Amino acid sequence: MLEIYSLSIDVADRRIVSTINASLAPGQSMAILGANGAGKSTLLSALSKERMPAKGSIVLKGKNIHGMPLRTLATSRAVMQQQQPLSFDFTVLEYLLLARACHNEPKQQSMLFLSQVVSELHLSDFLECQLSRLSGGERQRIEFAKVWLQVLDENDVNGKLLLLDEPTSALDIRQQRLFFKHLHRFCQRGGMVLTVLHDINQAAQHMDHLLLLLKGNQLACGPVAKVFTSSNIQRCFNVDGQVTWLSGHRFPQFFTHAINQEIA
Amino acid sequence: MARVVIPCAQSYERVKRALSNLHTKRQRIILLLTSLVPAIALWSVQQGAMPVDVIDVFKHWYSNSLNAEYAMHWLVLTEIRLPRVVLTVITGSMLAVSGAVMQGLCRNPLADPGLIGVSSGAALFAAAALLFGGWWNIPASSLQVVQPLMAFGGALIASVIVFRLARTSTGVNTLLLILAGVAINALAGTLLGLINAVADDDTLRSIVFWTMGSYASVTWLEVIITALVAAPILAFFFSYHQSLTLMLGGDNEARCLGVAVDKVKTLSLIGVALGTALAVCFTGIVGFVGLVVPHICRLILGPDYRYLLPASACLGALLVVIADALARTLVAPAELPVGIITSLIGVPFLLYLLAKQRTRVAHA
Repeated sequence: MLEIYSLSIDVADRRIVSTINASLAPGQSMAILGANGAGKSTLLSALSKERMPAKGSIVLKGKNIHGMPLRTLATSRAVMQQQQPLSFDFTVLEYLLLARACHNEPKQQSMLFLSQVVSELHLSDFLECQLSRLSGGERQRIEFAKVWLQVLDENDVNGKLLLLDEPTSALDIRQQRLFFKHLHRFCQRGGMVLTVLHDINQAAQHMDHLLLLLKGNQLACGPVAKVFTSSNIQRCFNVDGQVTWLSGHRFPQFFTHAINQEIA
Repeated sequence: MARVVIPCAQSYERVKRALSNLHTKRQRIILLLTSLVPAIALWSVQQGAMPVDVIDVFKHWYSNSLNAEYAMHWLVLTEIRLPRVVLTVITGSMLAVSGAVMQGLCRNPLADPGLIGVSSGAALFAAAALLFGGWWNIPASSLQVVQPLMAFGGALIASVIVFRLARTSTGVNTLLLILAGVAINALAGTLLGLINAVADDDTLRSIVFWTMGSYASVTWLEVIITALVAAPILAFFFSYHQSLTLMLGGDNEARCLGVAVDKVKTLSLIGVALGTALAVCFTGIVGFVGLVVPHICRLILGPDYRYLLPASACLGALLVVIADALARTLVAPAELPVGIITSLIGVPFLLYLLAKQRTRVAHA
């Protein structure tokens, strides 16, 4: 279980995020939504322990993450940053194996877990490829495999947390769908996913819960159906539009008014 | 062993095979390099203005039948060649490993230990020792002790200034480190230029020769001091190979994987500063080893420090041993500075890398 209690974060003596309260249970996913500068990435950086909060606490599996040793935390939560350019080129196999560095285990155990993830995400054909030769979608799949592998243990990924920062920003629509399919599978196995997304409709379609930020403050937090409302989205993004539940779909979508209507 | 979800057997076999191929290939290369070091060292020991047949000399020494000629060869071998070649092995390894570590810390394949001001600080203080030694008529025997001490001190002072400038509340900032290194290198270069301007011809020649590196007049004492300091530094780098590999993805990435980034970075930089200061203080600056050797090793073995560090150590040793042998034989009985030989090898390789990078950028 992930629990966030009254979390506030300062950057350069300025309050960026203020009094966030949220929780996530095993098997659930949550998207952090907000306008540019709302504090989404700052919040994520505190959750990944890159930043110390000014107030409040983040509790993972009953323990405050800021009191946890780095290695223990690394086996319980993994972070997928936005894709960085490669300074040095690894093979996919070597790169994935780095994820097991935080586990003190025999080599054979690492290989067993690695082959489990390789099989799960259909990566067998990529093992001996250089990372630099992969397409954006393939690279993203490898990054996801790496974070999955990092938190995998004998209890599978039950209760483990993935923090993702705009994981689909560089992917085409097909690759995005594939990616969310893998995310769902991760949650089905008991994992928790907390992700920053810019595409609010994608978040409404694929996530269980939403956390809306407005200028660093928590506007709303909860299940998609409860939080994804016209008034919340309008307030959050300062944009006119309407939330609609399309027939035959189990998720809402937000549609902005046509631009010529606005001009008129 | 705890219960594990058994994966697809086919997938496991593929992983096992791929890993085995990777590991076997790299192990073989490292084994080859390791076996070449004593072989090339043995060859080098025999090269010089007076060629020495090591096996022959040892046979005579063992059978207590050293005549005047073999006694001279024995003296040359044990007092001149052996300490020289041993020191080239140690310093070559140290420079190459330090270069590999710097390139990882800066996440830049063109970084080298000189980036943190070590070499320029050493050159400045060594030149100052020669200048004031000449002005104050310090005996040559005393200067032989004072100059390396000042070179070592200068190297460390420059490094400390760079570290202090690069240190922030969150640890050592890599960009600040590079910028501070550039600034200190420029300052040291300017002051060195000033020393060169006021020095007399003999002192100037000594300074120029020192800054280009030479293993002439190496003593066993210098070898022992270098070995005693280099051994723990190399052992430290080798034991932290996993952390160094993880830091290639960035500081945040490494922290998320459980690496104590600030501790590893600080200790690594101290190791690089000490190791490089040591490698240059007795012999002057031997350029390009820290830049070129790790780069070649990375092209063949990949960036994993488990393989990169031992390969760099061996190849660095080989490069400097061969360069030193060439330096004392090409214009025998005179000697070329060994830094000229390593630069003659290093510069074309650097140009080749730049050309390759240009092609890659053009096709991107």
